[in-house]
Amino acid sequence: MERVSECVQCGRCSAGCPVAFESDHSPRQIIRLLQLNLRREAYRNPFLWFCATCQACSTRCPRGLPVLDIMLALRREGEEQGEAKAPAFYHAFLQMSERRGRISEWQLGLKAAWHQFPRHPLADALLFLRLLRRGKIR
Amino acid sequence: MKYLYYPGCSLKGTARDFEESFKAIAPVFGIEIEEAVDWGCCGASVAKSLRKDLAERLPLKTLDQAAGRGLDLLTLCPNCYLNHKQAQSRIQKGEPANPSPFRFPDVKQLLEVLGFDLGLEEIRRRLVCSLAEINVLPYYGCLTVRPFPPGGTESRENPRIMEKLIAITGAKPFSFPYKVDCCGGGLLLSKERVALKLAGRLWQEAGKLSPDCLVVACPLCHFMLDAKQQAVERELGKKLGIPVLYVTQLLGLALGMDHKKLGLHRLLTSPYALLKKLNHPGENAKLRKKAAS
Amino acid sequence: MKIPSKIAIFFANEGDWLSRSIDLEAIVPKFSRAKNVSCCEVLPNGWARNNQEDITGNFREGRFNRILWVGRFSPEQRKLRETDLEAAGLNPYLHEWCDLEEQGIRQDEDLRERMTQKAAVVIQMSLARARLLEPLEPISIPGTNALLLVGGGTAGLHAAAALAKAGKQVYLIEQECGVGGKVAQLGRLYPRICDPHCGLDFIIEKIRQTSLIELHTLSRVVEIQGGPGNFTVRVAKAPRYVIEDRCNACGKCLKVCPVVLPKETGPAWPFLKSPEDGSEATSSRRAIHPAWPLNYPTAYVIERSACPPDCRQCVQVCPNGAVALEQLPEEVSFQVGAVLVTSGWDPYALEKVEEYGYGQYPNVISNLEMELLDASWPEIREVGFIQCAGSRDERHLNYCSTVCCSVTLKQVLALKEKSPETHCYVFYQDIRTSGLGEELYQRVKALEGVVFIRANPAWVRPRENGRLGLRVEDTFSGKELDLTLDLLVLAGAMVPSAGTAQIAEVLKLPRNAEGFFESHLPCHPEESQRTGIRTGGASRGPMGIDRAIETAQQAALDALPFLQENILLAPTIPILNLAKCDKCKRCMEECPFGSFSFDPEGFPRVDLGKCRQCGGCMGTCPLQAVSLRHTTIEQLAAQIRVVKPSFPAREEPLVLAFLCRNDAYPAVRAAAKSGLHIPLNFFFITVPCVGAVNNALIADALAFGIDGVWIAGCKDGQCHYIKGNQLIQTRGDDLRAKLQSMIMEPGRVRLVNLEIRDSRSYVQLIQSYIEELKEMGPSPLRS
Repeated sequence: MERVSECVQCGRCSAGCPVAFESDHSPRQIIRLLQLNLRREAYRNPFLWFCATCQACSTRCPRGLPVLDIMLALRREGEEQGEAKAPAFYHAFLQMSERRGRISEWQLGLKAAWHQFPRHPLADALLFLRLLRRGKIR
Repeated sequence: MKYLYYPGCSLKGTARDFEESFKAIAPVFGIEIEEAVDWGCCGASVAKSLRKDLAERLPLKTLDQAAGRGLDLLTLCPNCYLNHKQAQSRIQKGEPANPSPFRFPDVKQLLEVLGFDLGLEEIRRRLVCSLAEINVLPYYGCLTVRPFPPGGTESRENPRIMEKLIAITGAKPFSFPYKVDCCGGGLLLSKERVALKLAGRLWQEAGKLSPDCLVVACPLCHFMLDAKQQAVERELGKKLGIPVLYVTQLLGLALGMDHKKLGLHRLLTSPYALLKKLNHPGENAKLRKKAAS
Repeated sequence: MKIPSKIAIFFANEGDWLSRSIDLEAIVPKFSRAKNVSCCEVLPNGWARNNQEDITGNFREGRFNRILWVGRFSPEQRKLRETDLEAAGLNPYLHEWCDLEEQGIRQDEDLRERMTQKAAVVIQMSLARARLLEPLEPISIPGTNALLLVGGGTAGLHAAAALAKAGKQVYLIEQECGVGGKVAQLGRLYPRICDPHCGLDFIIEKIRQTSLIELHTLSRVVEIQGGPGNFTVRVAKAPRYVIEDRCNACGKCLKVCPVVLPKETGPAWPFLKSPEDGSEATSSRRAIHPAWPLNYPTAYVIERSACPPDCRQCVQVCPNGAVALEQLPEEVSFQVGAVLVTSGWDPYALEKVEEYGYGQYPNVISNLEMELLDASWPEIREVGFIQCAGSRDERHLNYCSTVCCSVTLKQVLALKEKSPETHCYVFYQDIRTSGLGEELYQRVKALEGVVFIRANPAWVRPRENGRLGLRVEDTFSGKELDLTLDLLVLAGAMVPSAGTAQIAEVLKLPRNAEGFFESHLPCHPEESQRTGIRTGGASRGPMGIDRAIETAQQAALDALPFLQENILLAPTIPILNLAKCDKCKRCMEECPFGSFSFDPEGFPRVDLGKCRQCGGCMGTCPLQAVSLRHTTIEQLAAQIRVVKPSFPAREEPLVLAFLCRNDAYPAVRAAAKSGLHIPLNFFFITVPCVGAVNNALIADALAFGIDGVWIAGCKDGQCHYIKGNQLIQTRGDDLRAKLQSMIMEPGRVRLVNLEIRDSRSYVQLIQSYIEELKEMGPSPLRS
């Protein structure tokens, strides 16, 4: 995090970010906010929770900044300081992993669907059955 | 060649065909595995988004086990691989110091074991069927190559190890410029719209090449591209119907293995047409029926 | 026969604070009685002219044969005295200068007694040295009136022409079949957008007209022996198969040669032609062809490996009998006084910048390839230029190649001139067209249809019809753009050429982390670590054509002293006492300039031409068998020996310092002159380089009861002798062992790095060091 001043704002991270297109913001802009010491704005930036943790940004950074690690640190700090709220799925995942040690994918899927209405609920129900029939849900 | 095998949650659920096919082909190539006992979730990308201490602690359990057994750790799921590998490289850098009195184990992923530890020649030597009939599209996704590429030497922008594996089966690999792009799997349960869009973009490009099948090495990619294929079709307004195989399943076919042993019957998008093209004995009535449904 | 030293001590009394700050009346009689001192006088009018005449007169009368000057002096005053007395017959090396001010004498009524005491010690030290001074005369070694120049690119050609103009013989070694290097492969030069061949033809005409430049193409240096003034260089020459002075380039052979070769450079541009065209067919290059990249030398050359067996058509058709298919490789030897390397650069392997698809997609090209691309193609409508492709990127090259911005701007300008409809995007991090280049930038910026985007794309992917897709975030607007281009030009970096690596190996020339030749910027930019070997042009770092020419000419100028019949060297050379030597070879290992060789018996020998007289060998020799004249180990030891006995014991720790004459000494001098308080119990001795300080001297000082030894060298990378400050560090283990055997804390020896302007921190460092010594307590050997 203290390395953000090394960023030269070349935009490679954002251009290669698969989800920057979906959000109005980009990793480069978040790092810029940090350079300007506008931390709160960074925590609240909705882009943070769009990140798919695909590591493309860190890999392509010409200054070798761990861009993804910075995004993840912001996620944590934002949550801790009550500036932002992680999507329900994250808490559900963590809860399950702490309680049972492992994740049951279908149960997690159900929980997530509770908080985020599926785009194709019928198809998802059908998918559930098909997965069950193929033994992929146990 | 013996590894301590860490399955991870998916491999016991939606990706059980990955595990089945790996366990089927491993003995043929002389890969011995010992399954980790009492293993726990690695935290995926969630633990590090919320709690750093937890994320750093979770992988240590299995790493300790591997150290105690004197074996390197093998994971099939790239997400589990990344978490364990990161924990391992932290320890190698001395933060925290190696807690175990033993040599600290290396962490390997499937493509590394196949392509580097075993070597292409070793694999080629044992294959029995040529898959010359089919055109295969390799798809790596993110975490198989980033930030730790297979063997430590593979390119992270244009890896070729999967193409090489496909080529030795006799099948024709496409060179797919989008092979290291994100499939959106990680966002499926938090931002479904975005996830489907990313998968849709991939299928758009992959569809142009009309491959007989896709080959992947990640449970999450597989779920996104296979199980969620119909959802993507709906988003794109376009029929795809292209089966998505694990690289282990493809190698299994080249070993002439039974489709059930390889878990091919568990695919959501039927591989019927593919098996037929290959004249594979697994092309049986049941599969045909399934394809029809 | 050794003449006993008769020393005159002169205190120049300027009537200023210095003469009041110490008790002269106590000092003068004390030193008048000292051993070897013939007189000790206070010059009442300081540096006045009549004083000088008296001194000269007295010298002529033989009343003394050495002078110890005490007081404070400027370098100019010293020089003046030395020159005047040299005219009277006193060797300039027989002066000893004892500057009280720089040693820390200052005006302080309360401390007058202690100041006097300190002054006495300082004079005592100088006197000890003065007794051992020897008259020295400059040394002359034979030189050679010729230079070997490696690399016939633009820089090399200009340097060769300049040297020939100065009347020097030049052997120009080029590995290609023709001269011209990279510049001959460029399309246009900024800022005039002119053809580089124009300037090259001009310089080649000069070369043609002189008989002093001997060009050897297809040649490589394989071995170098000897030293400055007298190198023997062995060069391997590949056969040309055409006799140079017979071929007049009539071209008859071209018409009969059956073999067509692909063009030397540039891709075949498959995307511009349909495959049926057969892109190779357009090449007019045959197995026998003119020199490349410039048609100089005039003689043709044959790619023998491409010849069909038994084909002798060129032999038969040649009217001058110039073709010699049976030619064999040969070796030539040259005697030269100096070597100049202008081995140039290569383009960075852009395949490594994988995300931009160079080598994967035919329409992703390098800026060098763009130079030769004929831009008259209507199908190219959208062109992108990615700056810093692989530069300023820690995954590739961390530096800026300085010219790529201007090159791109020039290419955009040329492109827009030819096809104004073309749309150009320039992706950049910073546009670096400093100085007058700003005009070029403004000119291009003003063009319609040229968009500057301050960002670098993440990747390039193929799109329909062979076009290229590219995603970039415009960092000014924060908008993500998705562009489709017909052609993408990558501004690749300049890296040291393969030839640079090869010649570095042969000449044992050290290179920096980036692979360029190292030099001491800015003090000696043209100097390499091998005396008599100079480097110029882009082998020294990325640079434009103008700078390449300038640096090469500058290096040529700097090589001139080696190209005389006799090379004059300062007499302050290292002298070896072979009776003491046990052939351990450390002098050879540590010499930064590779000056040592060994005679058949294994005794070291110094090549005086290579030696830069830093004294590293004197510092390293475990048996003190090496001594630098005028800073001999005996002189240093004598100075150390008098410090303690003449300094009565006090509660304050006694510190002796060795100062590097390049950086630390000027810093100290400046500190004293600016009135900073230098502790009274601190004395220093200067050395050419801290690498010259022998561990034995340090141990001596401590054994005599001095509490601490302080060594001040340059900062890393600033040492004029490359690594003197590191040498002394690496000898630390030996020293620690030595100190341990003396039951002495290693902390008593301190090594610091000072820059020339570090006067203030210099004083702070001494003070804190003295505090540390106080805590350590007095030396166990201090009585």
